[in-house]
Amino acid sequence: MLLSIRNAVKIFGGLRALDGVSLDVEEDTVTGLIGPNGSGKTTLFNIVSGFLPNDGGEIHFKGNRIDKLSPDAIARQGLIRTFQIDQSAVEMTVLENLLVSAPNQTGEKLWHLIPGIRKVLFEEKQNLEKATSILALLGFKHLANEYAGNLSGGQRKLLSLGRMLMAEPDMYMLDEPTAGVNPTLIKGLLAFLRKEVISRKGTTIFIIEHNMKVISSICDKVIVLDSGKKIAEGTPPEIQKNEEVLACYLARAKKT
Amino acid sequence: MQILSFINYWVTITAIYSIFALSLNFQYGHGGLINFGQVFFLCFGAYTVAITAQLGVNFAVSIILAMAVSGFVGFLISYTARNMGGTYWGIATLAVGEIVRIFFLNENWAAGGANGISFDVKIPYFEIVTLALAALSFGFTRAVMASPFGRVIKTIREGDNLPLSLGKDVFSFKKKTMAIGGVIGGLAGALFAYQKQFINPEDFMPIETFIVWAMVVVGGKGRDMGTLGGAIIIQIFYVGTRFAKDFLPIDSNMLAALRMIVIGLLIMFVMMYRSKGFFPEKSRLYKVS
Amino acid sequence: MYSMIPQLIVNSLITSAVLAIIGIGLTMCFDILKFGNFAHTELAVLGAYLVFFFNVQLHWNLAIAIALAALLTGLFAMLVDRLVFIKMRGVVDVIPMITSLGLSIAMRNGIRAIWGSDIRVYDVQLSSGVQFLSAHFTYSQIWILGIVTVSMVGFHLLLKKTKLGKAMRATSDNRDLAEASSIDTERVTLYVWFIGGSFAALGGAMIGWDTQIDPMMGFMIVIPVFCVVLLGGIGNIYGVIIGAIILGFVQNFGIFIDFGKLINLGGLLDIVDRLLIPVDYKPVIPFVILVVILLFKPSGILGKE
Repeated sequence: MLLSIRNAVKIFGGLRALDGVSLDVEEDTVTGLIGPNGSGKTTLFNIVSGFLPNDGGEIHFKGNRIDKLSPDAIARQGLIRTFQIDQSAVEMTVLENLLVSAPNQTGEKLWHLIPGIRKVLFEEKQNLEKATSILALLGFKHLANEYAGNLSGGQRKLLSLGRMLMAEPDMYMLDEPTAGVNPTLIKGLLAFLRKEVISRKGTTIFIIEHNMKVISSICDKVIVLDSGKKIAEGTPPEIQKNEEVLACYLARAKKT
Repeated sequence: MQILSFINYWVTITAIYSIFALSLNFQYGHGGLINFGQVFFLCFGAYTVAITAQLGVNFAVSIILAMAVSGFVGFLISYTARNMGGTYWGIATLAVGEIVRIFFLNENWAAGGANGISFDVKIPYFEIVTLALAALSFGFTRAVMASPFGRVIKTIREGDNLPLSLGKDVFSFKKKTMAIGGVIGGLAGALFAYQKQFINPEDFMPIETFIVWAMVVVGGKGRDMGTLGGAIIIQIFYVGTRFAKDFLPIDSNMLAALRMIVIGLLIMFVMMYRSKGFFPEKSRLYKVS
Repeated sequence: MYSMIPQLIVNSLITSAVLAIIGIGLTMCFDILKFGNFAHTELAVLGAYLVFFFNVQLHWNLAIAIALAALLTGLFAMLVDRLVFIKMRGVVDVIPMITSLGLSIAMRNGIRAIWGSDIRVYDVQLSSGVQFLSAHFTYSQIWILGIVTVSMVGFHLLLKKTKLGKAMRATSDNRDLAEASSIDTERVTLYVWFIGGSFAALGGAMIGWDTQIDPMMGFMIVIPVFCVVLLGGIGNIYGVIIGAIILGFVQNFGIFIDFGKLINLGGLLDIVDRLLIPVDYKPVIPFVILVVILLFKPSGILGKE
């Protein structure tokens, strides 16, 4: 069990956004998280990644308890997430966005800049090579020195995946990576994910998605949330036939 | 000959202001941290020099001490705005700036109170030293920003979420940003003290913060070259208008007020239309094979 | 010393009243536009000097001068929004904040250029006032408290009972939701500027009426007013009032508190001698309170309503 969530609770005002959610994400798998709008998916991501404090329950990652830690501490443990609203640094170039994502950079420690200058330069060279190969994978070679702010929405989503690759986390948490991306690009994204991420040994992905095609295409397991509670868990085909799941989506459709 | 000595004086003053502006640009232009009390770095730097000079300390040591003290102050200030956004930094730093000034005004034992301190130590070849230090400050900020450390600083400028999600200890970086700003600002303060040989609280009014803001804003946040440009432009404006009262029917109070109106409008104008300044930032370009 | 208490209470009330009425505009703008307007207190200065202009330079009646000053300052505030801040809706808060810094510099020095740096007073009779217990209330102070109270009550009624008030509250709670509910948030914003500006002008006029005015007075009160806003929680009008009362009383009573006695636990121990805040440091009190709030509870003692 790479990630283990037990009875996660989150309350906003009087609303129980998460009402005792428990789930596991196993290593080397792709686990999907789906549910109607407002069911608590992003809230759960925020709790797990430390961007919001939880009001109850425990979360363990790689055997360590993480639910009271700061978001950067959790990220350093190997859990890195993307955001629904892309957070690319728009005033930095694509390459800079990638370079900053590399973990454990000696050059980021102010006091090591001079005494450790050789190590810093060496790491920079290595990271530049790594970033260049990622650029090639993404098809972004020509965009290397382009400001991230000039990229299209779909390109920025790719960039956020690129940052992830650079960071090489133990667990990728992707929050709606295909939202707002045009269908042809989605195909490309999926192929990219399968080839470059999922096929690599030891990669674990936890992904929120609304697009069921994406879910059935890459997920080993799917968890369904509704109104802050887990209502179903299983493989994509099982979920698609699950009566409760269908009912909850239908009920939402009826309401609107 | 008078012209020469005046130019000499102007160049020195501009060099000192440039260092001061670089310190603010580092915090705001590169780091995105608003400091509305920047003058307190000047204050600490200058008073450290004045006090140690009175004790007969060698000027090199005084300057280093001044930089260390100011750097430490910058580090401490960060705690008042830990995880806060722009507005809180602005308010907190404005408050601290005023507290510092009132403290130095009242505390006679620390710094001569309202009478200030005068001292007798001079730096040999002062003008050249100042220019060299200005160049050094410029080179230093450029070097820091070209490093991976600087890269993280730039990332934080746009928001905490991305760097946090990548495992960067954002608050630690912010503290260091303020400390570096403090070190450079302290250097400016130290040189300011040596230039005047006499300092009192009146030298550290908020107006100094406003002038340096105009320099950074006009020059374009982030681009240190631009900051230098901004410093020169504002200084030319100041000197250029110095003699205006000889030609216009206004007194010195009116002159001072009019100048500040221009400064204020300039800041507004740049923020409204050219918030990247007149010398916008250029990112580092890499060669990709 | 205890005989001074009633007078101190009077002074505190006046300080609180002024801070509250100026703070209301700031907290509303801060809440709706998401940035701290460093030029807000300059609106108070503008109002104060307009009163001077009408009352002293034109020899008009004080009441008319105050009313006109409030009206004109309110309009000026709206104008500033239309010309300057409207370009910055939704932009990150540092841009309008720095702009407001520039605006405050321009306004302060504009006033200084027109009226000079000297202290000015209004054309009011030095009234004798009344004695209440052992406190002395001048008639102008009674008027000040009255005007401020009436304004606040009026504003409270506006918020709770009128359509505009409802729209203001909705916009403050959630601007996007308000827009979706077909509330014209731009119009609401204009009204907020007008009320904020005229209230600030009233506050400035009160200061001038009670004591005197000078071009630096806006800068002198910018931190106390921000302090009051943060104490009460941004956007919380009633919080501002409570914050103003707290700050007003702490400022006036604070220099009399013998911290030495507190540390010695009222005479039980004997650790330190008398420990008072030096009078010269009285202006520092709001600054220190502000820093303390920011360190420990930036959402304010009361938080958002």
